[in-house]
Amino acid sequence: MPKDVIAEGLASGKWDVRDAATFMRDQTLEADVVIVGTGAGGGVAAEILSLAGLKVVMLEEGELRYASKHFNLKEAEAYPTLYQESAGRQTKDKGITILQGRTVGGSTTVNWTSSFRTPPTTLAFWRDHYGLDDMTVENMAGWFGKAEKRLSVIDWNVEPNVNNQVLMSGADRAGIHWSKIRRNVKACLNLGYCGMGCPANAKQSMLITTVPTALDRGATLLTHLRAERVLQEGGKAVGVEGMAMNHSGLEPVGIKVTIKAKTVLLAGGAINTPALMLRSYLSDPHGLIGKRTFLHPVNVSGALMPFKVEGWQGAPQSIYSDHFIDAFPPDGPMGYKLEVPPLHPVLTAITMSGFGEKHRQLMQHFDRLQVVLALMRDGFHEDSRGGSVSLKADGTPLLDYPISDYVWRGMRHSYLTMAELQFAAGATRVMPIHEDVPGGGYSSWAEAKAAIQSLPLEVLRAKVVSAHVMGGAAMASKAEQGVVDGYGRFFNLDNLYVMDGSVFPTSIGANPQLSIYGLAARNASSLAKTLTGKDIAWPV
Amino acid sequence: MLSRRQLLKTGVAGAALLGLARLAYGPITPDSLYAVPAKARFKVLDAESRTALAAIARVMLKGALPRDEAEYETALYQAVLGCDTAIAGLPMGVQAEVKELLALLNSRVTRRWVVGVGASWETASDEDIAHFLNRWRFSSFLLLRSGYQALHQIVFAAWYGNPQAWVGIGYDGPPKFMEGYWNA
Ligand SMILES: Cc1cc2nc3c(=O)[nH]c(=O)nc-3n(C[C@H](O)[C@H](O)[C@H](O)COP(=O)(O)OP(=O)(O)OC[C@H]3O[C@@H](n4cnc5c(N)ncnc54)[C@H](O)[C@@H]3O)c2cc1C
Ligand code: SF4
Repeated sequence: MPKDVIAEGLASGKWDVRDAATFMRDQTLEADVVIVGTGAGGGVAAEILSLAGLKVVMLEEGELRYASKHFNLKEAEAYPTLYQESAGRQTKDKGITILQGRTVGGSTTVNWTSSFRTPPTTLAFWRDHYGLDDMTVENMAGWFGKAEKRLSVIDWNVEPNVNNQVLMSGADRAGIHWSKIRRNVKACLNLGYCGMGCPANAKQSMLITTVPTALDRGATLLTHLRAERVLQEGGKAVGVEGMAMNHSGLEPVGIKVTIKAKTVLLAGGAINTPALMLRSYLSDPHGLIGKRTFLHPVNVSGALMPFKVEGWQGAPQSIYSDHFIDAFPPDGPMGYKLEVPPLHPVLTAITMSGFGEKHRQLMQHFDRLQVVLALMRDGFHEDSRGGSVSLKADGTPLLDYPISDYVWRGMRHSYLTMAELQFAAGATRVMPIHEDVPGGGYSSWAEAKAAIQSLPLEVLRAKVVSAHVMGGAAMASKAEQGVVDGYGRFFNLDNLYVMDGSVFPTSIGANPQLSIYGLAARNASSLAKTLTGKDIAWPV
Repeated sequence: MLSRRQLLKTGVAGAALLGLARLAYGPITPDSLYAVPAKARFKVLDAESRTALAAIARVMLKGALPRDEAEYETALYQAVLGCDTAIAGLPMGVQAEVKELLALLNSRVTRRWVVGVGASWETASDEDIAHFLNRWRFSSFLLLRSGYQALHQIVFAAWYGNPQAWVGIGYDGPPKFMEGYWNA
């Protein structure tokens, strides 16, 4: 019988995991370090700080859900339980739908395992524009290497699924270069359901790696607990106040939980971390908190192939093309990365435009549907300043992300590229996902080319999505330019740190998880040294 | 064109005017399987909203709903139930927005003037409803476009999240061999 690390840990009686949804009265805990969020940044930080012998308390708004008990591969269950806002978080004008995790392990529990180091051009841009001089490829390589080792990032040599093969062969024929994606998996069954929580614990998410180690080392995990504000006293962060949420995670149950801690570490992910900072009324003299939030806005192109694709099967992402990242300098025309998404009925049906018979005709060919994505590298050009986070009346975050003409131009360019390569790979129909594209799409590259040139590019006509939220608490060497320094230290209050995707001053230009793991490992190790005087060997 | 503020006002005022829920959930006589009080099954949708959503879902899901009459009724009922579940899973703030949208669909005044459906949802024709959906879908007014997109998202998530809806799309559901994986 396979063993589930979470089920075993819980059964061992040694783990301190408490579900705040069951709390009957207010309570107070103490810790050396309180960490808000158990995703990419929070998970790595929790492991390293507890290895250093520090008493760590992890706060997670989501639930503790795990493979042997919960991951049944059903979208209808996964989205409301594992994602922020039922996988339907939207920007202010509702023009962009955002996927983010809300569960123990954060977005890493539901992500698609693609693993890229921070691209050298991105690091160079940060050095040049944000004074992050020591973030050289050489200095960071060690940290990415350690993270890759800890999380089993491997070359994925299994044959790509057909959805990815189409990207590969289409790119070849269109003269666009492509490469293989590395993945953080062990004994992956090549199922393709990573987005619903890996049912086999093959994906090396925070849920089954760093969070369990931290618990083994005596950390406490509080689930269904939403951090409301950072407690401040005498110019220092002294803890966090949180609200217990009900089982669905939608409503506070009216119970307050206070964690007093010498060090406060925020890792709720972009959008959520800046929102927590705003709710805490932290000093923000340059008005930078929540600003420059990036999304890698994604536009989408569907195609019908004359053969079976069955895009729900197999590693969701195994091939990518950086042709149009490499073709343009970061501050030149909008560059974009090409990838494919996994295809499951709900996400596919809500993404495809139109309704009635037209929509159904498409769904009837669900098994021959192929989809390519273009991820815009936002945040490098002055016409791409990202979005800004503010608070709704109930204190929850709202991201306003206006899509600039510059970004739209990148999307038009990528619609063309995607259609060209889908036809080159043998597609019989290609349909950019846009309301103005006729049901059934275009039947030739020539037709598509002419039509795409004149598609009106506006929100809620062109489908725009995102699964990569970054920025909003940017790092920089100087307080005028950033919210935290290169080690995640908040500029305006002692003992407060940020270690998650919100520290990036631009988007990454590649899927962000490994950038977060590497940077969080570096910064948490540095923090451990500051707090304990010890060098921590990681990974153990 | 109405401004966003005006629209919301009409929506809210319209809902207030309306007061009583007039329309029972029309087309379905619950069979024994569903013969439980509506209240117990639906978490957020009131009778009127169920009627409106059933009419909209009937048009959005044309071709997807089964042809057999008895199966059709059950499937449509399940679609509306699925909408209810989907909405109930949204954060409270977003639920409030969806309810505003439903109020707009339900109020006699806004149904006629903003939605453009003169007849009650019970009697509106498929053509009228498709016309309304397309008008919102291609509207130059952002708020109407977002209203259409919200309905699109809710109805299709509700429908295709249900394993019974996978018939005919070449998808057999998640791999069966995983079911016993942890007890193997
Ligand atoms: C569907 C999907 C697929 C993806 N695929 C890939 C991929 O293949 N490769 C890749 O590199 N990246 C991928 N990503 C992105 C990647 O997973 C994220 O960028 C990364 O996990 C972000 O890390 P983070 O630490 O910033 O936040 P997260 O991992 O999102 O974790 C934040 C956690 O904090 C919790 N939290 C937030 N606010 C509070 C609060 N106030 N109180 C308590 N808890 C709080 C949240 O519930 C969440 O669990 C994907 C993301 C998604 C959603
Ligand atoms: S492909 Fe399947 S087994 Fe592999 S990591 Fe994803 S969900 Fe797990």
